[in-house]
Amino acid sequence: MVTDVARVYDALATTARRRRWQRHVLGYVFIAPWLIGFFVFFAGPMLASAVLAFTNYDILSPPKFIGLGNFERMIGDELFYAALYNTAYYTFLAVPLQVALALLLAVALNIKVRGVNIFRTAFYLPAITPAVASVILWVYIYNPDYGLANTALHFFGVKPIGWLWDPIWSKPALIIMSLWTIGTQMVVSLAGLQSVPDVLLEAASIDGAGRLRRFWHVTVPMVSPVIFFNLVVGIINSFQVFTAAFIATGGGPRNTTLFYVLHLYYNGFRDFRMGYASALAWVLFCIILVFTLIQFWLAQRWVHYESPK
Amino acid sequence: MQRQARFSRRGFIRGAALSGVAILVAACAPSAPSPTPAAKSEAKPTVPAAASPTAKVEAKPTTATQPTAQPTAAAKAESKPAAGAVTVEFWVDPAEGKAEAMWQKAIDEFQQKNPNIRPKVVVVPYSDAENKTLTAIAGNVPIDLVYVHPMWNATFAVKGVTVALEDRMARDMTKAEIDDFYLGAITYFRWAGKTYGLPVYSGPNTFYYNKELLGKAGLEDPWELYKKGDWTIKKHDEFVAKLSTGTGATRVYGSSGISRSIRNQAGWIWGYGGDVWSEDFKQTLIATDKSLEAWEYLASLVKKGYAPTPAEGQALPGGSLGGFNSGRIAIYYGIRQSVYQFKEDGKWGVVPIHKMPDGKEYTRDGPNALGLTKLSKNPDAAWTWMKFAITRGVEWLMEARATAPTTRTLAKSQTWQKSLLPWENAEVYDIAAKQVETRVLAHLPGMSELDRAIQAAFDKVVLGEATAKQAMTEAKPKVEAILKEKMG
Repeated sequence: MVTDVARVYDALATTARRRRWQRHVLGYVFIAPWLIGFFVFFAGPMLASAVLAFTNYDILSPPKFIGLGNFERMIGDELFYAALYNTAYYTFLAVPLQVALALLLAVALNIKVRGVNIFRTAFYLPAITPAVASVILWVYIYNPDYGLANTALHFFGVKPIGWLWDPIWSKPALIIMSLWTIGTQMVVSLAGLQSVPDVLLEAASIDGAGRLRRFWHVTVPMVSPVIFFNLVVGIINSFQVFTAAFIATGGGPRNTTLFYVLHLYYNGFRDFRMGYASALAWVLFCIILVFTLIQFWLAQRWVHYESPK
Repeated sequence: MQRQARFSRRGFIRGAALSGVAILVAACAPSAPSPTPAAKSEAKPTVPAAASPTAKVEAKPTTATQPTAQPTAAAKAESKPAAGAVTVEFWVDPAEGKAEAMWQKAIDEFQQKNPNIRPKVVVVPYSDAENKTLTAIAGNVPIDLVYVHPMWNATFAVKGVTVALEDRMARDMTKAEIDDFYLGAITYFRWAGKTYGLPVYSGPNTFYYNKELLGKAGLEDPWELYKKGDWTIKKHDEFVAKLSTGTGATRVYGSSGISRSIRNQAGWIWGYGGDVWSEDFKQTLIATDKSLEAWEYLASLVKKGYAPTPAEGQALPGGSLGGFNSGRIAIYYGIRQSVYQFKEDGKWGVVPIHKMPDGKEYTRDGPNALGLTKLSKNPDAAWTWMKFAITRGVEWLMEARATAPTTRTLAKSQTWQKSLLPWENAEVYDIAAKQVETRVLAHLPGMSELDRAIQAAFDKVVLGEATAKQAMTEAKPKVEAILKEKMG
């Protein structure tokens, strides 16, 4: 009797184990396409790049191990420092402007007026315009002789600016260009604003807080997680700025728009120094990782996740 | 009570998985055979007014002193390759968008006698050609003939992209035929004593000028001055100074400036007594006293406002060429290929480059060649096409005004004479071709990168951020580091 029960118990346990195993296998089968894509297009190349960073590789002959040679080259490469400076300049000016402007725009688009959806669409559209087309458009806008930008300045009696062709104005020009595509951040900010409980704002209003105080002391803390998200993503993306500089300026004038990823691209795909480009890629990865960790650490002081009970 | 059909999650997942598998299977199934390429129909033959063809389709260049044949009238609208035909893929410069049409005429004629070989033209822009070729070769793409330019000929040779042609040339070409090439047109494609490309395009630099602007300024025609032996660097400077007028959107530059590349600037460096490379190519001589004089001169054209800065040139609608066309630049340093972009109603002139301070005349050529790759699956067929392309093919390109002659024989041909616009002058181009022969700059492996390093230094001089001595002295070790890396 006991043996029979044990046998039945074993059979049940085996069936249960088989069913669990089938469920696991089925789960992996369904995520297999993503897994394959991840290993083939992401993890695999990352691993290859990590190895190539220690080699001389021009894609036409096999990689040759050179130890830390690429990193030593980086130390002596003045364009590396120029690219780092340009990227840092761009990031630390563009990102705060993008986040602030996106938030202000979201506040404006959060006002319930007739046709607000049309405005929301209009402000979001540039974010989905193909990047190359946008940049080419802006190159025309910035043309020193006949562009819209200088025409507008001329209207206000301001001297024309060289914009993309002026070493001083080239980066600010690209930063202004980047503000045109804050639609995605605006939408995220808008979603955050719409989750701010009205009761808090009403309570603040009753206590005598004006608009600005309500915004600064109620709205901003409530949307701080969204601001934090935009900040982190903005910094990660800005450190990888490439398209605008590649199309509009090629890194010029005088390497003032030679951003880090553009420098990496030129080394890898123009000069065929794949090993050095891989080393540059890993250094960028480390820089972005460090900045992101710093942000997460600082976030403890100003990002509020708790919702009111 | 009727039972309602229930569509469960499991059913949805099963359906989605089955659809996904079906799509994958359909995508992985072999594709339907592609239809036979439609024959090109734009090859309307140009009926020659004069002599019958003397050049054979097998493409041995003629050595006769009389003008060579006009392009034949034999090209048919349709040319179907014979069964068992091999395709020879060859990469060429876009030639301002006209390459495919021009080469198709040559292909149609070639296929009359060679139905088993089907040349296929692939257009690759100059700015992408070097990288695309290297990437394609690295990816084992079996290109037969690649577009070779002096800037990357040595790189291709050193990396084994192209193969030396000596054996084939010795077998199929006579010494007279090889010597018939303008020295400038073929020397650029030699490296370490071997030939890695044969030219299908030549374009020695000359000055094009706006006769109206010169007339308004009361200046004599430069070509007349040249014939008198008075077209010197000093005279050129006087001209550009007088022609540079106005400000802002109405500013006129006397000169387009000399194109910012060492291959163009070398003539001036030699003219001032300097040099670019040491004899062993291990050092650069761009920072010697004589070379520095040349750099200061070239920068002065911009600093004095006679030529646009790189940024100003880019900002002109259509760049420098557009500026010349619109009357914003009076004297344009250009190549023959640019000519068919000039406004038809413009009053243009052409003159060889002026005499340099050392009394000699230099100019550069930027020929394009076809190079046979190591990956070609049909090298013999590719070579047969190449022999045709470098002679009859060039004649078709000359007819389309896409090239100056690459050989002395072609220079005497009716095709060349007829291709010239009314204001053009065959004598000028002949002189220019000979000016190239005064001295040919060695284009080394990694030439593009070497050039960039030198131009970065030159930019500082142009913009007044450094003297030529400071900039070139700073650039010298960087250039030599690249030389060491690329030359081994």
